[in-house]
Order: sequence, then C-alpha cells, then structure tokens
Amino acid sequence: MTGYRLPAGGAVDRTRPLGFTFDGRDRSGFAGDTLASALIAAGVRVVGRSFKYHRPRGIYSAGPEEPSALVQLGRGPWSEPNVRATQVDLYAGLEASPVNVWPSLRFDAGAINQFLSPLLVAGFYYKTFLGPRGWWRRVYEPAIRRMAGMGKAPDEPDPDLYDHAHVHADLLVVGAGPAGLAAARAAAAAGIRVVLADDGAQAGGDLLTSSATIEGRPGAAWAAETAAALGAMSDVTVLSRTTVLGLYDHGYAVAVERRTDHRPPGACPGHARQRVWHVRAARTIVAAGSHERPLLFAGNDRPGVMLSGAVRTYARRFGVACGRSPVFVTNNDSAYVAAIALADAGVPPVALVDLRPVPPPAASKALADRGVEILAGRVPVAVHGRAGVRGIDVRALDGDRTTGSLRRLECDLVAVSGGWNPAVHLLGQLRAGLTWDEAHATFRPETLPAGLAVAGAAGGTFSLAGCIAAGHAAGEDASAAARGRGGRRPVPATAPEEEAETPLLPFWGLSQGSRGKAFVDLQNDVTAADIALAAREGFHSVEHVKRYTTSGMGTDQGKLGNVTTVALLSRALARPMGETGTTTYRAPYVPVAYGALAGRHVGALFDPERITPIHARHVAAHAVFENVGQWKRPHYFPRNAEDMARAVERECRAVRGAVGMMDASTLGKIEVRGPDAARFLDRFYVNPIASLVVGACRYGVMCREDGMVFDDGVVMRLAPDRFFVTTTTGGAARVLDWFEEWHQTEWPELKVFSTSVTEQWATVAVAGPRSRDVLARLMPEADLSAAAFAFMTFRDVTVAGMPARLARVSFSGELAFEISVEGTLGEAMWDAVAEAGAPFGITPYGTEAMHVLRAEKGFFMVGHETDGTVTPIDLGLERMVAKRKDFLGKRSLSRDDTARSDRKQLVALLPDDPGTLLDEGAQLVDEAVLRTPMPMVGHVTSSYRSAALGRTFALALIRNGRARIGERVYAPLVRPAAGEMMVSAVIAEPVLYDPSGARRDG
Amino acid sequence: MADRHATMLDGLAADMAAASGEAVTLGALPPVGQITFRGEPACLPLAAAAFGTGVPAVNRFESDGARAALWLGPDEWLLVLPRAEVATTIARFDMALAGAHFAAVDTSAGRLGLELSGPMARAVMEKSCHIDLHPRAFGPGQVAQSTVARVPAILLQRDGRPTYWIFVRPSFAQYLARWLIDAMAEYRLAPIAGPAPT
Repeated sequence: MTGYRLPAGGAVDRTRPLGFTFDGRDRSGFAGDTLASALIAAGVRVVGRSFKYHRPRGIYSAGPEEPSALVQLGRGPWSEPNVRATQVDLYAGLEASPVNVWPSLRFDAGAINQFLSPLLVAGFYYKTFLGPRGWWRRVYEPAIRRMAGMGKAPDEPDPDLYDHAHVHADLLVVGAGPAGLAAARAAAAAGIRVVLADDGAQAGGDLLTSSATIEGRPGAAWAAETAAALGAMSDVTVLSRTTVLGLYDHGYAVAVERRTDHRPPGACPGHARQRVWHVRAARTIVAAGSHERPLLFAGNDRPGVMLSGAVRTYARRFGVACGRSPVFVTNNDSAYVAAIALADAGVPPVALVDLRPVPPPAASKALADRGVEILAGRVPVAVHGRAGVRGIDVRALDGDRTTGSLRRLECDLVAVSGGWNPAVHLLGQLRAGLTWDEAHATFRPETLPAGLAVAGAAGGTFSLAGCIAAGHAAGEDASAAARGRGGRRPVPATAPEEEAETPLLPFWGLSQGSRGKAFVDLQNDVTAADIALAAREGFHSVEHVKRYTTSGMGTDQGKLGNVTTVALLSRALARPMGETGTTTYRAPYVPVAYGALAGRHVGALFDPERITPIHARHVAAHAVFENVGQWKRPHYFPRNAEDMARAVERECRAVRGAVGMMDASTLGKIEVRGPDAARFLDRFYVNPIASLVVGACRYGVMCREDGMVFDDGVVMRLAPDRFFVTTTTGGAARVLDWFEEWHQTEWPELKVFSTSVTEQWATVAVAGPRSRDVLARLMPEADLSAAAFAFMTFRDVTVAGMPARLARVSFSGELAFEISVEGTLGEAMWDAVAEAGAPFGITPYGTEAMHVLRAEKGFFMVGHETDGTVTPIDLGLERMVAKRKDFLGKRSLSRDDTARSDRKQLVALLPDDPGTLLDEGAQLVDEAVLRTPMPMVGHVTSSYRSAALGRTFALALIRNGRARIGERVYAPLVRPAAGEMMVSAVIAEPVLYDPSGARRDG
Repeated sequence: MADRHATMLDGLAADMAAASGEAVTLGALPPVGQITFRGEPACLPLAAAAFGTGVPAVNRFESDGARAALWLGPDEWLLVLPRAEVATTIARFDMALAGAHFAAVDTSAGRLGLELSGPMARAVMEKSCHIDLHPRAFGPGQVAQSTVARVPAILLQRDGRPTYWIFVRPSFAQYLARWLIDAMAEYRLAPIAGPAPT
C-alpha cells in the first residue's frame, strides 16, 4: 500500500491524480476524493488546532458533522473560512490551510493553553476577566478573539454568483440514502411531483459504503440506478450536493445546492456557485440518516481517534485506510461491520474492544475468523501519542469504573462507536416531539406535525431492510395522500439477512480511574468535567448548560456531542434523559454563505429601482439621484464642479427669479369614478371635496382614524362622477389600499371604483415667474392669463402638439403649471419644455430645491413634518378642517390629548447666526446652558439654506409654538470640528417667503 | 407628426435580443392598448360582449387573438387591445353599459409587457417568482398576479412552449428586464462539468 491508499477498492478514479496543497505542501489525491480522504491518504494526521486549548486535531468523521477538520479553502477573494474538509470534493489545484494555528500547525504557541486549562474551565470568561473596568472591551476580548478565532473572512468582494430558485412539489424527500431513495421511488411511481435532495455528490448515503445488495444489485449501484431513473422522470427533481438547511411551517423548506464547489475557483464563469432552493411541498419525508456518537474516554480527541463508521467510509468509498494498525472500540454492533470491512481491505485490526461483556455472536465470529482479537467488557483509559495515536490502554469495565490490570494496545488508529443519533435536526426545527430511546441511548422522533414523516435511521430504524421498508411505506403514504393511490410496487428486497441487534451498552464515561480530558464537544473544547462543573454550579437547564459551557455552539452545532451533553447533565443531576430534553433545533442545519442567502439581489440588482419615463434625460444631465421609496429621483443637477449646496442654491434662484422645470411623475395618481365618488372622497379628506366644481383642483389632507395626518395631495374633478387624486410619491400604494379597504369593508354600498393611474401619466412641473411665457410658446393660441386660467384649475389641452392635462398648482409659491401627458410622451414633453424654456434660462431642479422652495412657503411635507403623531391642527391647518362634514379621524381630533392647545405645533426657526444650519432631527430646549436632564420642547423637521431669504432657516414642531413666535429656543448640536455647541434660534411664523401669496399669479 | 412615444424598454431591445437564444428568448411586447375595467358583477357579461371576448374565469384570460381580457379580481379586468382601439372601446362600454356602475380607464401607459419564451423560460421564471408554474398548476390561458424579482407583475401564459407575458409598471421594466437577462445567462453557457466520473 502506498501511503494510506489501499491497493484497490473505493469509488475514486485512480487514473486521474489531482494535485493540491495543504498547509503550503504539495499533496496528491484522486478524482472522487474529498479533501479529507485525500489528506488521510497522504498521511496527514494533524489538520488543525482546537478552539480553546489549541490541541492538535485530526479528521474525525466523514460527513457534515465534522467538528475538527476545518480549513481555510482557496485564496484571495475566493478564500473561505472554516470549511469542513469532509465536505470538500477534491479538484486539481485546491489550496487549503489549517485554521486557528499560530505560528504554525506543527508548533502552535496557543498550545500553552493546555497547561493553563485549570483556568479555562466552563464559563471562564465570565469568572476570570471581571476587572479592571474597561479591560474586557479593550484588552481581554480582543486577546481572546485572537486566540480563539478560527478562519479568516476574505476582505475582498465575493467573485462568485449565487441565485435562488423556487420549486413546488407534492413531496419533498430529504436524503437519498436507502430510506430516501425507497420513499422517492415509491412516491414517484404513483406519478406525483417529487423533489429529492441529498447533500452528497452521489445518491446512496450509507449504501455507498455498504456491502449489502438490494434487488440483487450492489447497494451503490442500486442507488445510482434508482437516482438516475428518478432523475429521468419529468415530475421528479433530483438535487445532489444539496443540503436542506431548514424546514418551516406549511411545507416550506430551504436548501442550498453546491453547484460548482467541486470545480476550481473561477472555473465555471457565469454559473451560480450555489443555488438556494425554496421548496414548497405538500408533504415532507425526512430521511436524513444518523450521526455516529463518539465514546467518552480520556484522550478521545487525539489525531487518530475517529468514528468507526467514517473509517469504514474512507476504506470502502475512497480506498483509504485511516491507519495501518487500527483498534476498534465500541458499545454497539456497528463497529463490527467497519472492522470486517477494514480486515477485508487488507488492514486487519489489532483488536476490537467491546464495552459489552457479551459481543454479538455472528459478527464476533466473522471477525475472529479474520484473526481479529475481541476484547469484550473492556474500556480505554488512556490514549498515548500527542500528535497521533501510538497506543491505548484498556481495562476491564465495571459499571462506570474500571477493574483489573492495564493492557496496552499498540495502534495508530482508534475507531470508536458510541451508538448512533438519528439526525432529528430538521424534525426538531418543526417542533417534532422527541423521546428518549433507551435501547439506542438516543433521542428519536415520536410525534410529528401534519405533513411531515420520517423514515430510516432518522426515525431510529437502523437496519438496512428496515430503512428500505420504512422509506417505501412513507413514499406510498405520501402518494396515497396526494393521489389517493399507492401500494403498487413491492418493497425492494435486501441481502444478506442482517443479524439481530445485540443491545447497546449506554456509556457516558468513567466516573474515576481515568486521567486526562474526555471531550464532549471537540470543536469548542468542552470536556465531560465542564458539564459536571456546570451542573455543580447550579445550571440545570440544558439550554443554560449549552451556553455556559459552549457545548454545541460551534459551527458543527454539536452534531456529535449534544446527546452526550444531555446524558452527562442528566447523570450529574440524577434525572432521566427525557426529562433533561434537548436544546432547541434551529436552521441552518449546516453553515451557509451570506452570498447564497442574498442570491442575485446584490449590486445593480440589489432591489427593484423605479425610474420615470424622463429618467434618461436626468442621467444625461448628470443628475445626482435620491431614493424616494424605490424611486430614483433627481436630487439636484450639479453643473461643472458644483457641490450640492451651490447646485441647489442655483436651482432655487432660477425658480424664484425666472423659471425651473421638475419631473413630478412619481406622484401617486388615482382615478376615482362612480356616482358616489364625491361622497366617498369627502369621507377621507379633512376638507370638503364634494363642493369642488368640475375643472377645479383642491389641495386636500387625509388622516387615519386616530386623527393623525396620513397623506396629502391635489384632487381634481374631471366630471361630476370622476375625480383625479394625487398622493405623495411614497404614499401611492397605501392610499389606494386605504381607499379599497374602507370601500370593501365599511362602505360597500357606495358606487365607486378606484384605479391606479400613477404611471399612465408623466408630469413636468414648470415653476417660476416666466413659466407662463414658456407655456405660451408651447401653446400659442391659449389664453393663460390669471383671469382666464385661474389658480387651482386645470384643463385638458394640447401642449406642443401632445394631448395634455394642464393644471395651475404650485408647490413653490411661484406662478407654476403642471403638464401631465401619457407616460410614453413624458420624454417628448420634457424636451419640448426645455426647448421652449431655453430663452428664459429654464433650469431643471431636483427634489432638494423643491424642498427648500416649499419650506420657504411653510408647506409641510408628509414624512418630514409628520411622523404619525401630528394632526392637521398641529400643522396650522385648522381652517381647512371641515366643521360640518364627517371624515376619517374627525372624532379623534376632539380627544383631550389632540384638542389641547399646547401640542407641538409647526413653526419656522431662524438661527441667530444666519449662516448656521440646524440639523434635521435636532432636539430643542429652552435654556442656553446644557444640563442633564433638561426638558425638550420640540424638534427640527426640515432645515435649509435659503437663497431667497439670504440665510438659513428651519421648520420645527415646538410645544405651544404658535404662541411663542419671537421667542428663542436652543438646539444642542455636535459638530465634528467644533464639538458640542448650542445654537440659538428665534421662533417665527412658518411662511417666510411671500406671505401674501402675491407671486402665485405671476 | 412622427411618433413621439417612447417606452422604458426601447433602450434595452438590443440587450434583450443578445441575451436570447435557443433555450429562452426575451423581448418587449409591442406597445398595446390597455384598459383597466372595473364593474359591478351584473354588468360583466355585457362588458365582455362589448369587448368581444368571453367573460374571463378566475385567474384566467379570454382572448379572440387581437384582444384579451385578463381576470384580476372579482370586479376587475385588464383589457389588452390594439392601441388605436382604446378610445372607441371605452365609448362602446359607455353605450353598452349605460346605467351600470363601471369604470373603464385608459391605462395604456400604465404597464409594459415582456415576453419570455422557450424551453428554459419556466426555469428563468422559477428563479424570479414564487408561484407554482409547473404545467399541472399553471398553463396556457392562466393569469397570476405576483411578484417577479420582487417587482409586482401580472403574469400570463400564452402557450405550452412555454411563453409567458409579464406586465409590469413601466418604472420597474428596466430593472425586471435586466434581472431576466441576468437569469437567462446560464442557459447560453456550456453546462457545469460533472463530478469526477467514478
């Protein structure tokens, strides 16, 4: 045998050697290897250091439960921390390095922690690092994080793609081992839609290492053929390399498929590296198998101590011997199968140590026939060898003590089996009831929620024939539930007949007669003594013990150690296992990359972006955009090297001095039609709407039932039974929902229909004293004088040859028009206005200038001045609020709290220093000297520099503010340069510009 | 006057064509007329007759080839028709449904249509949409309202190829087209090399 590669056997392709590096050294494996099998074959024993004590650790398992063999995989942007070597398919050029080692794997300075271990007991960081004050954050925590940290997250952007897919099915089968395959086959035969997900590269699970036959075929071949046949069925989706991370209510499951991880980084450009599957299935069968449990004895973490099932897997599936002179240690029958497999592969075990006094007759005879000594009724008491097992000492076992003489067994591999834990994690996530199974000393599922079934080892059935039968029956049940038929095929027959189980001997470690650490959780370095200490210190809940000792809190989530933790705690507290129970199972079942969860919603596709029909013109004009909900709106249009303040000032001056144009297409628009439309709208707006005449517009405000301002906008009456309602940009959907909700639930008798027309119309606002001149060029025959076309009226006209709705509304206080055209004409209208306005210097302006202009006029903005606690009266709109009609929120306005006179009210603020800009959101106080605490009398809602006023100003909500005009308040602010400062400002009437309103008619 | 209408997808036509292949094609539907029709139940048969199709069943559409009526709700349809016929159709409703309570609003610019078609079209949709599009659950003649790549959309299936029409608000159209172009990309690539054969 070359190294540890067996001369024959295994499903690796010996004609295809693959070079890779580990810890900087060149290694070689074969196609079909995992990184773990290739490392073992190459003779690498130490693959990492443990989390707390920095003890050397080797590969422990062959599956997703691996606690020790965590590696940093790849380099640069492809670098990925804490990858389980057992789950990495080997590819040419793979680069891996150990984690948690410094300065090197062979010499680790942190190993000194082993000698400090009396200080590093359970909860040591709660006990040891108590003072001096501030040291935890500055000294202890950074040091501990450096010592205890594992792999390093890459600091470059992830170059890989990830995506998501949705699939619906009658049945989801989790796991393609014997039970899962039998279930999927039985169900698919009835023609129902099946999704079969398996985390392996090949279907088969335990069959890939089994010597049994099914329907006359070798197990692995039967699995491959069955999976291929299923994959060929149109209604079956077979997902390999796919791990189900979580099961949720209503048959929803989330799984991650590793699509390119078996290929070198960057080898599959354009393909998603991983795909997250969202499965929605009427029924789910969990056939997730089981995890072998370690045995508790001193030194059970040394490199060379491994799970016996993993030893069998490496031998049979990868053609790799995990040692040259193995010893098996077991408390159950399964290690016999592994020992026979190793003997038959040409690596006869030194001995099999069975804790039970009476070994299984047939299996022990088979082993004895192969010349293997069986030591029954013995237990390991010591493991020799620090960086690799050199031998173990065994003594006779009497209960939880040892007797008799010590016997040393020279060996380089200790293959252990402490029994098998059903993989109940997914079931536990759905709160399946678990019960303590005395015979197998483990928890198995007992009660399952509707729609969920379990089959095979995950359900506590461990024989092959039993797994096949259980899977088949579960599949038939699922098809019967979906289709009303099943039972059409016989249960696949297995051979050879399996020996009846000899009962397992539960074993949770020696109470005495053993020195050294016996590990419960290898990844987090939790020992049996830690659990006992936690129990002595009063931790009785397994949830508390978990968090205090960190048992089960590693990246493996204690897949190996949790049952042992429960057992040790139960023993320490002298109570039954079932009473202690398990910790809570939560998704994800295995670690998952954030990139996979994000999918394609990254970068340019992060979230839907809404743009107006005029967007391309704004881009061409170098607009800086602002997010308003999902809309991208031009914030300002910098010219040359202008900063935002200069651009906004220029845009404001243009509107006040000549003319500006703005894209107002994002405003929500709803057409309300029907004979009761006027009555309907009257019930929403605080001001009368029914009295609006056809052809006129009216500004309106809506409240929720609580009397707080909810949205506002302009209402136009198109016809006696037709209204055109505008809403805020962000409020369009919720106002339509609000209309529908009241119509459908409270006022179904009203004959009215509401239709969203937000995007039917594109709107160009033209504002400024020259706006009439611009319009005159676009529609020379029209009389646009104030007398002929009054403020707050509209008309359907032709503008620049395009059918348009022209309204005289103003959000700036200037003479202004809004031109609305069919959305597809938006760009053409924008161009026409720009061209017609050129002689007047028409200037596109953005949302920031719009805000300055409206604030100068004291116009509030929903979401700026309102926050769901502001009434129309607080905003100074009491004259708008109808006295004679009812509307939503009206009664709330007469509540004691809403009717009191000293509520926070909208006012303007003028800082004493006209150059100082108040911060939006700043709190306001009445005293110039800061003290703690001090009463806060209000807050700043909007704050701008005004070109028209030649100074800064703000809008604010101040308690009893309207009665305090002329008084001074103070804003405590912090500036990066100046530090803490108090800014004084005088309260003013909210309308600072053109209070008489003379400018709106031009 | 030259056609001054422009849609948000005009600039992406070349990108969509370039992304299309044997597996799946993407393109903008030519601009169509659209009417959002809402009416009391009693007037629906009359409305369908005036429009020229049958009454659409729940979550289905009725089409005579040139016109289609999409069921959106118990009292709401989206009518798709040639652009030039919108005004006359609304006028026809006003006559045929005189006295009934209904609203027929021209929303021709309110949505844009995308056509996604080909053997892998369903796979692209399954990367973008939560609803069950398996032939047993969704087929030609059916309409659904859902989100596609988080964008609110009306989805209908035209044929078994399958061909989907996706109607979205124009403001979202570029985002959705870019999303679909991205989702289609893998179907023009060679498949991922398999695992080491064993």
